[in-house]
Amino acid sequence: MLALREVSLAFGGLQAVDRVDLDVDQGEIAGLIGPNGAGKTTVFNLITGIYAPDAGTITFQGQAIHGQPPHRITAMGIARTFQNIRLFGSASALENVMMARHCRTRSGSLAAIFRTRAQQQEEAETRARALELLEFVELDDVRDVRAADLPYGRQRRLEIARALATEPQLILLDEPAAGMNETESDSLVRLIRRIRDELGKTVLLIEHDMRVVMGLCDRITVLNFGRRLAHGRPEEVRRDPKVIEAYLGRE
Amino acid sequence: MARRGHAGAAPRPLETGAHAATVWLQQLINGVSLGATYSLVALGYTLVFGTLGIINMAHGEIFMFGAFFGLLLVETGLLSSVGMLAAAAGGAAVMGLLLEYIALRPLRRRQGGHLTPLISTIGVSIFLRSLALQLFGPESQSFPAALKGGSFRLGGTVVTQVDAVILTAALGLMLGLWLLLGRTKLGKAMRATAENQTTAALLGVNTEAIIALTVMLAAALGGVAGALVGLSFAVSPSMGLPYGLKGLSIIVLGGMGNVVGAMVGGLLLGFAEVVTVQLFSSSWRDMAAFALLFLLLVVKPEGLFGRAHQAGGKV
Amino acid sequence: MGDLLANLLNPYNLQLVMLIAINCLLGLSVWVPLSAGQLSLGGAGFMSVGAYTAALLTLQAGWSMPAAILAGAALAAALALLLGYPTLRLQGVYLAIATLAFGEMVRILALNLRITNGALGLAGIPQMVDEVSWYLWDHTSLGSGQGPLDPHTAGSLIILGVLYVLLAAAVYALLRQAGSRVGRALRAIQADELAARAMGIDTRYYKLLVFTQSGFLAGLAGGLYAHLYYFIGPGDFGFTRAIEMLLYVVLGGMQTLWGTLVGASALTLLPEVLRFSASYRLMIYGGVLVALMIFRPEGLISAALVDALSWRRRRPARALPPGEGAA
Repeated sequence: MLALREVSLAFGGLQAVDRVDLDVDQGEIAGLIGPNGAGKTTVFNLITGIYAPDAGTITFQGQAIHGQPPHRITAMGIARTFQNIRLFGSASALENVMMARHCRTRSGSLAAIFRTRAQQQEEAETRARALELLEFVELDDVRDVRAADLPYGRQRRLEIARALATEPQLILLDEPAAGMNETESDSLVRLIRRIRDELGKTVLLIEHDMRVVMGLCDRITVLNFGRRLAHGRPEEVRRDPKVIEAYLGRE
Repeated sequence: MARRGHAGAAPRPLETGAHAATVWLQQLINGVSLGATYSLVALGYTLVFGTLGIINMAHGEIFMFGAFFGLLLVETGLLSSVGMLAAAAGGAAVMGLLLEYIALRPLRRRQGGHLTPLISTIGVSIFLRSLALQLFGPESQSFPAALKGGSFRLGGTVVTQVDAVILTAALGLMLGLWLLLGRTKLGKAMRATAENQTTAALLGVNTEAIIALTVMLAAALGGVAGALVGLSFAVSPSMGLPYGLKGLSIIVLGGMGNVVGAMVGGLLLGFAEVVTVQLFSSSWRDMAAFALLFLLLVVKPEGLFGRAHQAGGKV
Repeated sequence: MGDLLANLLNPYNLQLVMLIAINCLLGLSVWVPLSAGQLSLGGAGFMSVGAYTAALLTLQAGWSMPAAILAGAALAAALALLLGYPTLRLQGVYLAIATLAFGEMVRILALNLRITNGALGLAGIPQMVDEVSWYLWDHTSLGSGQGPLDPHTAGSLIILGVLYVLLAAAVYALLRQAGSRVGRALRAIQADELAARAMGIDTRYYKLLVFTQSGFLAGLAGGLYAHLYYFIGPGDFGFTRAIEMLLYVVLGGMQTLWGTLVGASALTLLPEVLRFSASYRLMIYGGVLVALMIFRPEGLISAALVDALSWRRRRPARALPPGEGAA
């Protein structure tokens, strides 16, 4: 479904991503792990079009997407959350999700000014879809609360709902369990499973919490210093001496 | 600008080349002299922006008051360029301190939106311009001819004593600022505060004091620039606005918060203006700053010497 | 009673009330891009383009006023779109200063071109009120002095009505837009441009949209302004004007469009209120600005205030329910 081939990106003299290959298959939950500064978030930024790679190709469902602007990649069916939560803070939870329905709706200013029937209908649908998604992530009780006022764990869930509102086939989650306690991260694991099983989405996630990664992922890719160090099923990766040395060995 | 050297003289054909060279040399001198005052104005903006991340819209009015402080001192009978500039610097620095305490510091405490310091300093500028109108009247006033002195010829060009004062004062101040920021402990504290206030505070820098000092220094530079401009042209309550706008253009040209960029940008604009006057006419002079700025922003948004990540803050 | 009415309806007051409507349009032209996080100070330039275009079309080309004013607004909008393109990637202070530079360039052009008559400006622009008054004079009984009003007052009231209908139409359109998919996109861009792009919003498109709308509103206001007064000159559309327009929005409160309307009205009236102290007027004005930024930085009208006053019981974004502390 998603394939990165020999993707490289440098910032000034720093080679942030160095000839990385990465594959995600339809319907799987894939993990991207590695020590801090390994280039994981940069890979996300490359996939979602925030950066264009210096070299290499990124294809999604057979189409080359590298170099495309972010909004077009989102429209093609890739959505994401951010490591440092980037909600629209002063807007309500419901509005945050409605904002993300943008690329699946059409009405422009003139339709809004003249309140065309199509526009009214689309507005109602946007709202209904957003409420459904809030229910899905169990946030329907706080739909009118400002996003910035929500507790941390719920902000993470709201970001997931917002990403789902763009109707992606592939959803990228950047450290979804960061800062969560054990109960919260357990319920997050259940939520991510439901995203795959009930909604049929493919998931690629970056995560430091090994409990989450090992329990959730079908396949794992390990990055270190911008390069792919290992990839495979969780138990294979866990036993890989290179990985233990670079990453797990420190814990 | 009236100082155009040999405007009326019709050269004989054989001398055209040499004459043209002299005209351009004259314009070079005029450009440096004009550009140096622009640099001083721009340095005031850039010091405040570098430290606080805000544009001090009252800077043009402090510049204007600097000119009046200088004029007031000379009117007491003390015909000294140095004293005049010192009065301008001192008076303007006090105004800078007041600006910091009244219009800037309370906003930092409240942490309002990003537009609040912009509006608050606009308020100060409206207040100051109207205050100047009340105090000094709307007419342009000149420094006494005795202070301005005469002029001397240098290889076919005319250099006025005013030009010499401007160049000495402006270039001297820039050198002084360069040394202050680069070589002294105080300068290090100022740069640390500009880089990151929290870190600077953790390292034991009294950041509030440093900020106040930076705003005062910026105001003093503006005040001296005002006095120099007043010396070579005239002093009036409305003189702040055009110089303020050009100062803004320059800091963008040179990269926001960049000290060297402000110096070079000011000189560059000085040249651009005299060239515009020479090639077109003096009524297009003011176009130079804005056209240059606009072109540059479109081609290279981070400024001539800016780093790419200086995005200019969020509104 | 009749005296009181005649006093209230004196030409000076009527023109002031008309000016409020025009200034509200100017304020909206700044508010629109600001609602997507874009601070543009080029409004005075667009106003100038609209005013000169409309005035030249009626003065020299003999166009009818409505057509000329619309043409001025359309040209200003087109120019805004053109200016929007190269300035798209500029952010924050850079955008503000670039647009400010554009405004100054327009002013200097107007000062130097022959067609704009340089520093002297354009005089003898036909006035909207006169046009209507003459019509009333010729075609109604008001001309013979039999009506309750003289033709000039009646004409003023009609133009006043037209201006407020235009303003109401602009407000209605912007409110509808704000409550729609487009408005959500603008708020998303204002809140976090990068996140907005990642959520599939084409930020370039929307920035150009708000720029164009802003240019149209300022150009429209310019054309109306030119035909409200007899004369326009380059000095009418300088830096001071640009700053005034920004003040309407910030003083009134930029969180909602209502703030802009209140700000524009208040700042148009304030000089009148302060006329008892003509010489200290601007000093008080400047002091009020500083004080407001210190004590009420969100402006006079905040979103919370609008929600509290709203007659439709919309459910505002509320704070957290008790017992759920934010982490």
